[in-house]
Amino acid sequence: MYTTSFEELPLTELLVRVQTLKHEGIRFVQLCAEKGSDDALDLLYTFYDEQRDEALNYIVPLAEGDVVPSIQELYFSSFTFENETHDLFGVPFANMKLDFGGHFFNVATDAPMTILSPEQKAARDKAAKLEAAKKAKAVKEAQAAREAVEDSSAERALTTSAAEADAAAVAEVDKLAPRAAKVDAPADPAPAAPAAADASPAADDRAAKMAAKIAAMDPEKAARARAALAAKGIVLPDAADTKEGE
Amino acid sequence: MSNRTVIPFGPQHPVLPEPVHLDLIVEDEHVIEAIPQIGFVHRGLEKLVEKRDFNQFVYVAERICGICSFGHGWGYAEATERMLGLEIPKRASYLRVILQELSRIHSHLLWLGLLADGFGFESLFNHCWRLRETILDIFQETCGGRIILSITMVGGMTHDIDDALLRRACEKLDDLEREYHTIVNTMLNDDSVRSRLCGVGTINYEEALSLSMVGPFAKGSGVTHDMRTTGFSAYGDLEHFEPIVSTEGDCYARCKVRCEEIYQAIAIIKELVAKIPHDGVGQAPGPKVKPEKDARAHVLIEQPRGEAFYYVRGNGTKFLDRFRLRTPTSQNLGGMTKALQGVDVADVPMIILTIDPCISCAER
Repeated sequence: MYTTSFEELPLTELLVRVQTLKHEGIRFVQLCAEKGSDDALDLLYTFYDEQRDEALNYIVPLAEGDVVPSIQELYFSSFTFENETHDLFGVPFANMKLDFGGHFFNVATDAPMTILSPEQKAARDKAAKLEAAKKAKAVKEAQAAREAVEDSSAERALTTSAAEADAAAVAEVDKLAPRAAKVDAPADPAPAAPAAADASPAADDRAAKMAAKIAAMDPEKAARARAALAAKGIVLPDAADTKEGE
Repeated sequence: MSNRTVIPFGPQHPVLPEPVHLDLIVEDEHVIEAIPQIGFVHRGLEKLVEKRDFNQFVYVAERICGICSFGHGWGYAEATERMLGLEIPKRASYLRVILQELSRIHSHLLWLGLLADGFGFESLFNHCWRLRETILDIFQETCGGRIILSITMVGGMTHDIDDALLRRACEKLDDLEREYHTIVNTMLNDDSVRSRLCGVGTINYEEALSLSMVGPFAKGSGVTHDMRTTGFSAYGDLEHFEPIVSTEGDCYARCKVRCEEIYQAIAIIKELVAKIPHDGVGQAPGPKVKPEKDARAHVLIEQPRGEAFYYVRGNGTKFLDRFRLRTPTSQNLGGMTKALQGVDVADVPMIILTIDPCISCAER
């Protein structure tokens, strides 16, 4: 049966110790991060000495802002663990031979494994909310600034949109009563009004139906449709009159 | 003049049973470099240890992977027992080793079938998976489940397997061995198989050592490291145990190691069934048993794919602060990138298959 030992190792001595282990032909087993004192992180390096059947564990305490030297030059297989520790715990490594730049594990949250207690989770959620609010505020301010610059063009844009709305109403009227429009609107637009007056009884009937449909529309839309038809020289009878006549 | 091209390989590929992605940098059909990427099925199971008490987590550990399922439950339970200072009865240790060796047979037969399928040997694939069903039947008879056995608990086993059932399992293994003999002869002596595997994806002994490779991948290159030689659990009671190694270092050597490990596993099971003690299967720790604050322990066990590392750390409550699993695949990814350098693009699937990566385990 193999034996196991745990030893604390300062970060500054890590590379020297790993070099010694490599020189002695000791096998690298794994690297992982775990909760240390005061919610800081510790790194746990494990090696296996096959001559003595002994598993050697080195606990390396980390402080805020520490950058860990990579051991990939000595043990290339550690690239999996260094990238994993970076992606799941946010521990930065220096001089990595194979660096995936935070995309070895494609997880939705940065450093998800560092949430160690409900208090930490609440603090992290609060920080995320503040960050989101800050971003939203920045976006809003940028938008306001853009609007101020484009103030004059905005009015023009509004006019254009009104004209577009009128055109849409005309298209709708044309769709509703294409035949009536064809009959009522002769090839020459100038004598449009007399033509409307001289319309046949069938055309009058269709115009009455169209007037009824317009009356059923939203009042604002109906007003636009009437205006568009009037511009074309078509005068529709009042919907109420049509009903009475019927 | 040749141009370098990057060919994306996986994570969905006809020969890959697992979601691993490789960027193959190729030059005239030769792979210059292979950069692996995982992260498609990460489930955060290590993190879950903070939300499940140490007894419940055995069942989570079993679900890390569908092939080495029993081994993961065992590794976690063994590490927790060591942290708590619990001794389990000998019979429980024997049963664990028997089930682990059955898992090894099932894993290697599954892998053998996938390899045969990889080079278009469909009938061999079907025969291997048919034989694998025998092991699943044994699991069902003895444990109730075919893949997730849920028989391990911290402190021993949830229930005993009686001697008659164990003897019947041995008889089934005799039948399996006879049929397997025919299959393995075809596998190892067929010209078409040899032409695809011999001299392909070679890793020499020094490279295997420097890349800290484990399991049949390393044994195929002559590395004798096998955690079963340390005599942990019931392995220490075996009359003789010698790891199976091969020195060629190519795909064929890795295949040969796995094929022979099946015979070895059958022999281990028969030996342990013949001398299994009757001292009970242990019991779950009482509700007041809790790991001490900062108590830590780890175990190394030999899974079908190689050495696996299980680490646990307590915090004074029934929940643990940390569970860590280092799977053989995580350790072998470095070796895989090395084995793929300089090979033909057509050989890439074979090499990956002979390494037998399990990405579900590696990502947890």
